[in-house]
Amino acid sequence: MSTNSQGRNTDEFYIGYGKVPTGIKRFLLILIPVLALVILILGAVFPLIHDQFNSGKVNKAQEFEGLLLGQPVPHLLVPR
Amino acid sequence: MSVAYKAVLWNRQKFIYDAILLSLVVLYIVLFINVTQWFDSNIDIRGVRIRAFGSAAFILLHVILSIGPLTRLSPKFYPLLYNRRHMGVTMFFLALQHTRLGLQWYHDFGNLEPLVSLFLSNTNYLTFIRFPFQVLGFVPLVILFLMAATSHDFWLANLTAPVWKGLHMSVYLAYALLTGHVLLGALQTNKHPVLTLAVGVGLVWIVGVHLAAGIREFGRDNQDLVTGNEEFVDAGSIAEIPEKRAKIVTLGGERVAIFKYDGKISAVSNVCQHQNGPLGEGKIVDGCITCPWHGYQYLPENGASPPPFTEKIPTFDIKLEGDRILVKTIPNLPGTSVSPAVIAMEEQR
Repeated sequence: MSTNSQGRNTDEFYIGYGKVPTGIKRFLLILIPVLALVILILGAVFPLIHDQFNSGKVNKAQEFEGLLLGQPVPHLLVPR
Repeated sequence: MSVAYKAVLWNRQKFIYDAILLSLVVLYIVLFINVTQWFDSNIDIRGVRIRAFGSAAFILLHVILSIGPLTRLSPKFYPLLYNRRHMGVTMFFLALQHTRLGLQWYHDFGNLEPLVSLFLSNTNYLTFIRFPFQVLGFVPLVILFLMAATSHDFWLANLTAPVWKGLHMSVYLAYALLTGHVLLGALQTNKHPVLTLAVGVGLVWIVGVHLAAGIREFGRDNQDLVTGNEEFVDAGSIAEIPEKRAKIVTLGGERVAIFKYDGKISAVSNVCQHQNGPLGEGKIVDGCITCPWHGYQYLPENGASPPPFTEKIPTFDIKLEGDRILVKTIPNLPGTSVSPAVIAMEEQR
């Protein structure tokens, strides 16, 4: 294996329209599953740490008390 | 490289890249929606989709912003960079879908146009926590649209590289505004601190990886070989450059790539004409200096792309004294032919 002054392997050179060098292919075969695992974790964890849309459920009548304002758009100001 | 413009210059790597990208995006969105519904089957799916697409876009933006500095730290990450613009366009469409669903959900039932309502429904611009965070999301969407719309090489060539690069660097402004959008959105509507913390971790990662790459680059640029008015400077020895590879040196603030190939030495500007890629990290392939970013090629003797291509980069006069490489400090005009320095037989051994 040849290296340059920074200690980098100079035999391997990736360019998209060429063949993927063995070392880089090996690295990608680790990186892509790791990325997939991170995506799996985030996709499972983020919904859990969100507050759910408790007041946004459809077909369920709910009562609110507040101040009805006309400007800038009609809206009900509900104290939290 | 291409003489004529095509929508996408497809090749096997790009198909694989896009297939993995889209698979991971679909996996995330499907998982997000299903996990949410698993915990509450009565929840309105439209609201969940807003979060799923928005968070997918924001995560993807972190990946996109990490690729550049990671390639500065290790060339193993170059495969991620090769088709990064497809990642950027994918991210824009995720953000667009998030915005469309958000406008429908929050602004489609009033007496104002949804877009007008977006800007007028919350006018607490002088507060922090109640600041209209949705506006902070809309401005980056415009930036991302401009970036996606001009991502093709046609626009790169017609806007010129500096303008195009400047426009695409505004992704950092978009990131800053989006971080505010997500943080304030989370603070206003979410009581769970982990979400705010996750945004903070992402911010620290992005800043950290850029700082690490920046320190490395700064260290390289700080070793400027030009100290006075010398015509030629010593750029190192022949032995320290691997065959068909380059050594990068800094001359008067400009990086120069010195290539060794077939018993010869040539020096050219380190900056690729395509997207300012680091040519010195490239390799001589088929007799041409090949940029590691997208494979643009230049002849080492004259810095010109092989016909029919027309790109040209500056060259540098070069000479050898024993095993030392001497490079002229003033560059030649782009495309100027320079005879390569021929390495003596005893130096080649």
